[in-house]
Amino acid sequence: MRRQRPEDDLERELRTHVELEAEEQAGAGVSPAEACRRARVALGNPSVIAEDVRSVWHCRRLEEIGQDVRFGLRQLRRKPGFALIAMLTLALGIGANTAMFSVAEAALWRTLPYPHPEQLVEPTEVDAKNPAAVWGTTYPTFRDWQARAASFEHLALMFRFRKTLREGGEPVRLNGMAVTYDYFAVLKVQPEKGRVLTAQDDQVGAPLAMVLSHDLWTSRFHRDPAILGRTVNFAGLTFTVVGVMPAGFNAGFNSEPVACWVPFVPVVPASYTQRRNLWAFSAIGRLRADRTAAQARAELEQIMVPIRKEFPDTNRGFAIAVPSLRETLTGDIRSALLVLLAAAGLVLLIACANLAVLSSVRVAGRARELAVRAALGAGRRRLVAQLLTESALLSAAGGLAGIGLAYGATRSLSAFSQDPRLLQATLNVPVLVFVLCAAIASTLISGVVPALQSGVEAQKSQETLTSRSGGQLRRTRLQQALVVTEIALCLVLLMGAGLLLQTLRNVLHVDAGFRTDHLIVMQLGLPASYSTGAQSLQFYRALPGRLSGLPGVTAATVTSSLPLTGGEGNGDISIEGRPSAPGQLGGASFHHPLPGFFQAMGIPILSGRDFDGRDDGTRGRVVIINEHMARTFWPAADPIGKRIKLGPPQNNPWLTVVGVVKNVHRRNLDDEMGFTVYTPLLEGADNNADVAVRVAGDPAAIIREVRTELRRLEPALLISHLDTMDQRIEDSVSPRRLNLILFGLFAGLALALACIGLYGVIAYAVGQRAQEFGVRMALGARRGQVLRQVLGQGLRLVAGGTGLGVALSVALAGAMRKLLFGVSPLDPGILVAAAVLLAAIALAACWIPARRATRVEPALALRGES
Amino acid sequence: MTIPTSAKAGARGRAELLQGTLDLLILRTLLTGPAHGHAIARHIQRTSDEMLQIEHGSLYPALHRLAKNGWIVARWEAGKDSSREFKYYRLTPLGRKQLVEERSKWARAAEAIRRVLNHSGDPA
Repeated sequence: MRRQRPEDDLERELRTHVELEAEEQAGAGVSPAEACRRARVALGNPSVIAEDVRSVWHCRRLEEIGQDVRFGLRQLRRKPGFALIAMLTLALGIGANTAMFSVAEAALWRTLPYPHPEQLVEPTEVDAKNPAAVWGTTYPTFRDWQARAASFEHLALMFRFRKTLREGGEPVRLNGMAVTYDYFAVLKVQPEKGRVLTAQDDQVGAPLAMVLSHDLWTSRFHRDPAILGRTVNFAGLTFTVVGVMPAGFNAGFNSEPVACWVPFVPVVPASYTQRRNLWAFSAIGRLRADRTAAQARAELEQIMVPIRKEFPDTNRGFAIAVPSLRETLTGDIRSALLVLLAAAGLVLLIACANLAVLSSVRVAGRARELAVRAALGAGRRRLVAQLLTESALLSAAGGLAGIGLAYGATRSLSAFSQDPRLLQATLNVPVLVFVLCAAIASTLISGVVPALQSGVEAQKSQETLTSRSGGQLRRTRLQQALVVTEIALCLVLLMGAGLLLQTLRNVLHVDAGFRTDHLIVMQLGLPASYSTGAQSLQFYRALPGRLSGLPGVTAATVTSSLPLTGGEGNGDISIEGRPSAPGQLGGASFHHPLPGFFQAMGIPILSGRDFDGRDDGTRGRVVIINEHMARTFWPAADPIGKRIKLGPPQNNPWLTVVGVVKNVHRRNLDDEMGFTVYTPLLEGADNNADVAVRVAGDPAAIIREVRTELRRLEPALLISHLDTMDQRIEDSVSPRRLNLILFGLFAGLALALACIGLYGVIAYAVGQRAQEFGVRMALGARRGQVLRQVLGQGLRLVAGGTGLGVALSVALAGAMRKLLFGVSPLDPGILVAAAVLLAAIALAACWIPARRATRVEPALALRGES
Repeated sequence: MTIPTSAKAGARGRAELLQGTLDLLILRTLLTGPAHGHAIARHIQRTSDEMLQIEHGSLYPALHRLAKNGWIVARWEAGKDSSREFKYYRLTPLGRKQLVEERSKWARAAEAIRRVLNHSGDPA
């Protein structure tokens, strides 16, 4: 038999059916024409049957998809305004999410560059009451762990230090890391050149070996192929280079990269390694494949039981924690990134809801078109597919624009953050997969509502063709629900942005405890030729006089470490006449300033006196304490003349308190205030010190002259971290500022989107009711009444959304807590401010369509032509 | 995809066709020999004493679906009493197996419903 097209075949089959049916009817005595008619009625609409049969044939119906795409494009071209707004909102929503995701992916989820990184852990002692207080461990305790713990394949100890490298150009301060030999076995990374450190390198008396990072090899030695065997002067010692690690190897540790690795035992002083009460080291281990971090933790706790008994010094309410390497690397930025990612997600959700509202309004406007197509035989499924195709087209365009947006955003991130973990963000495969998922999700979210609605419209094809409105109420309800949701989510974001703004203001308004303005700060490193403390001290003592001689400089001072800089030491406090267990009274950070330091810094002396030139340790040791310490230990008495010790009591002298000074923040403005003690620099100095220079005019203008003058004093002087104190404070809040900028951006986007959605719904409602308004105004209603009525409708939506938003904010408050400072996540003032701002802007969005309602011409409306 | 398989209970005394039973009835009808669409509809109507009214529109999608599943095959053949050609459907071996399965499924369901209806006593 001849081949025929399936369409013709079906047509023929249905025709024969009608013929047979007609013959049967005719046999029953009906006229031929009537029989024919009855047969047709019995069969039903042939095009609907054909449609159904066809959909049995092709499950995928590729040709239809092609048709839908072409038709969709035509539809979108016909309404370029709608298409543009839809694409723009999706591009912004998807772009914001993609940018945030790529940053989070780089910082939180990207596989670490080590084999089986999930086995890497950093066991540490922590304060049992406050597990966030990480102490690291001591060398003897580490040795015990290493000898007895069976949970680790390898366990190594690290000691990070910052020292001067005088090789390959200007002297520079670098991060070095002294590591026990199995450090490289823990990480299982092979060197790019040469070898890694071995057990032979890591013993007393071994020749000093050094492994360079790829970056150091590149930046200081120009990738010298003959680098192996070369000697390098670092930290005042001479090392022989034995290997170079591959690029990217050191990128993982802390936020600052490590430049070189040296063997632990020959480099770390014995005075550090013999003490059970010097928590200066961090351990890193690789878990055995069959062990978990929890098992390792339990095992180390067991090992600690006898140690704490035997050495009471170590028993200070500690517990063991075994965080993964991933946790220690990202713990400080994790919650911020996740909250920001969630905020971006909310923006996308709002964008989708918005698109759903606009499409729904549009579908309602297209009801007649849909009805006509349904009547012409398009199945309900086909109509739904058509509308989904349109939203897929929009999502695809939005996704593409979003990728471009995200690319630009990650490129310009370096303007806001120096954090190398964030700057690694790129558009890689996981990010592109994420974009795809986001586009599909937005297609479904924004497309399903109007698509389902279209099904309803199409089913009611008959009534829709004749009357002007069908399914009106349900449609309106759905749009209103979407807009209420948008407003609610928008309020959550506004609230979050408000909280972060308040947080930043709180941090910047913290009293640092000294005058931060007009202050130049820097770190100095004296060359090795200053071999004794006395030589260094002589240099430091001359500094304030020399620098004060410069025009514009009002004062200069030297100290071991400046406030808001970090790098100070920490020791246990003991107080005369108050027997206490080690560590029971807490620890104090110590600083060693020159006389005149407090005046130059603008730190008020509350009682007692400053150091003077005779406080050099020869006539009794003296100490100045901060207000917090004085209040805590001598709440009623005068601390002047009391005696304290710092560090282990058996090998430290009594210090007499001679002064109390105002509290100063040590590292960050948002730190909790701790105990601080000052002892005279004149008692002993080394090659490294911090310098502060108070100037009268613009500090930036004078920085160069300060540097020149210092170089004149000592040409081999290493000057680093030369900055103004204001800049340093600015840097210290830059992560918070970045949080605020991003969150504020998301909240602003959300606000704009919610307003567009609200505008769309109100404008649609006004359009639907134009006739009614016209009639009412013809009957004497005043414009004000109509205006109030429309605004009232908008107000109800805004109020509903705000109420829901407040409830959501309360539910989500916990997530924000970690990012805040000095403000409750449910601060009522901010909540009210956010709600009022939102309501005001939203009502403004209703104003435009409301005005339009009052301009309806009664005569036109009555004729049904408006 | 919704295929309307229930015939409308138009006239009094006519039963509604349960979802999914149309397939079973078509397969059973073809067991007696090849038939075209119109004949299948007639046959079901007649053998059920006009109790089951097949909506002709729903018949063809069902036929094409069964053919797609490989349970029946179709061919244009000349009718018994005329020179016209009709599209005849016949059962495949796979279709026979399917019929046995559908039949026992139906029997089990009918038995279960019968038990519930005949049950006397407390629901508790």
